[in-house]
Amino acid sequence: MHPVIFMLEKELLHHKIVVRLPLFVLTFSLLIIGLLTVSSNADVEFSLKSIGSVDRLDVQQGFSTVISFAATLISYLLSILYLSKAMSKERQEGSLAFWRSMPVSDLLTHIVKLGFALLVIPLICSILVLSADLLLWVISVFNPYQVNILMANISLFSLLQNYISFLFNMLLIAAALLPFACLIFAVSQVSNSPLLVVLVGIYALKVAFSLLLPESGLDQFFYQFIDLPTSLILTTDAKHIISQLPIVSTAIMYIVATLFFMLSLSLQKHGELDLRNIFKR
Amino acid sequence: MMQLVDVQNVSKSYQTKLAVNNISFTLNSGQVLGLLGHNGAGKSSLINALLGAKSYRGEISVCGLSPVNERASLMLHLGYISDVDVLPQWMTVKQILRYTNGVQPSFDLVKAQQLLANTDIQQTSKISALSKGMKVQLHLALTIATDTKVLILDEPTLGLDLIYRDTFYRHLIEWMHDGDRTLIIASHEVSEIEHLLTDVLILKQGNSISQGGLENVLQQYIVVEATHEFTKQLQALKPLASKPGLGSNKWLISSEYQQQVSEFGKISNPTLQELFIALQQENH
Repeated sequence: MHPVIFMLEKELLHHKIVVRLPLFVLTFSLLIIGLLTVSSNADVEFSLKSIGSVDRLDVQQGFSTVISFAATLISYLLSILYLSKAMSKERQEGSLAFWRSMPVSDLLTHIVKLGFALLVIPLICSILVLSADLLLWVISVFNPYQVNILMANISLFSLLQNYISFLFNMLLIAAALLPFACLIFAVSQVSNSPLLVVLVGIYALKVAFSLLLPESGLDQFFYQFIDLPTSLILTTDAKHIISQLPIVSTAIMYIVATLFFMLSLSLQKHGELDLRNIFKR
Repeated sequence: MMQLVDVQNVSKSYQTKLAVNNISFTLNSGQVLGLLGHNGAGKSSLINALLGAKSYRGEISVCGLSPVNERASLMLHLGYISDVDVLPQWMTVKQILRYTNGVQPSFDLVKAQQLLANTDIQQTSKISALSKGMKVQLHLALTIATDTKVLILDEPTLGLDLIYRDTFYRHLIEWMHDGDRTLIIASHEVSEIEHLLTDVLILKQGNSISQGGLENVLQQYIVVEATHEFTKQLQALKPLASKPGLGSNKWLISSEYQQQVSEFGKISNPTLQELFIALQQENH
């Protein structure tokens, strides 16, 4: 097996909440679905009231939408939680010297941790969606009347469509989260509370630029850096949000993200901040 | 003999403090270097440079590889054990064996399991539940089961009881005999490691104050046990140290004066510990 498999397995063991939380939500969701389907009261209604810019989710469109939304939110929160600890936790625990004594390059370590945060965690959460959808489908086969209340047009094809749509949305969110991930990796190399430093820093800059240089367009830049993933989670039309992004600003965002990634690599490789080292091979 | 470690003019500074100043040495297979010095002498800074954990000035080559730029490749051949708990406490012994086996191509899982079978360490145990001695045994088993050419030990037996220490050094000697290998040991416990060493590098405030083959270094000095009547003559020879005894003093002086002092009293060779203490106390 490739070393990457063992590295991912190690991340799973080290950050158990990544499995435990989706598992708990899955158990809870299955319990609710089970209770609703066996309930004699078929007039159960759900609604999620809109909060701020949150699009209204009408549950009559399907119970699976609620599950997908919950899974997306859980995945996002787990990714943020993981990213904030991925680099600093090993240093704080004092095991960094051990991990660095393994024949694994800093680049591979960074890529594996990014991959874990942006791909593996959403994939784990997708199992939640798939399992809940599968259960609904199984129930619909045996008791179509009850399930039709919860989920419209239930079929294996719609189930697959819903799952693929979920994975696609998660990929978009992962791409939007990538610059934030690179930034938090770089900050993690010098701070034990990277999430706090990044959030306070970004919002402080955002406020400062909106007051001092309101026409500079930097607002949009900061929006993309930190708020874009959240917008993608809360919308029902992620493609529309992506299509509205200015190309230049997006390109700059990814260039800045690359610089943060290189800074993080350099800090890990050289053990200290020296700007001359960033571009050294 | 294969050259495994080459350190040339290595210096390391932390802001204004010079932690390591212009250190050079080479190590071939079969050599065991004792890296000696008090706290703050620069031992850990030099070890960090050898491990590629910190940047440095100068040139370091371990197994022909640069510790900073080729760390991943170097770690196929380099092992490191320190007194600090660097093993991940949240893992079980089985998990750490599985991980090491997965990422370290030269790791021999069966050998590691055999080594651990001779200890009280259970594979299901969490590392955090192991005693200090068991953790060192586990780390040593991981290192020995990996085909390392260079092993760096930083105060490895600190806090270990005598039985663990004895087992530890026995395994090290076996490991050295198993192939073309070299060992670097940084320790305060000079007398404990003296029998293992072929070479020595004594550091003081980042500078090398004595280095070379152990025999050569020790042959540069002699101990003269002389009665008080020779005190003035011996003081004129700028002794490195003197130690009062009952009716006589022990003087550590340069061996170039051996003929001059042969009539003063009993002459013997210094131990590494005597020399180390004398060099550290010099000019204090």
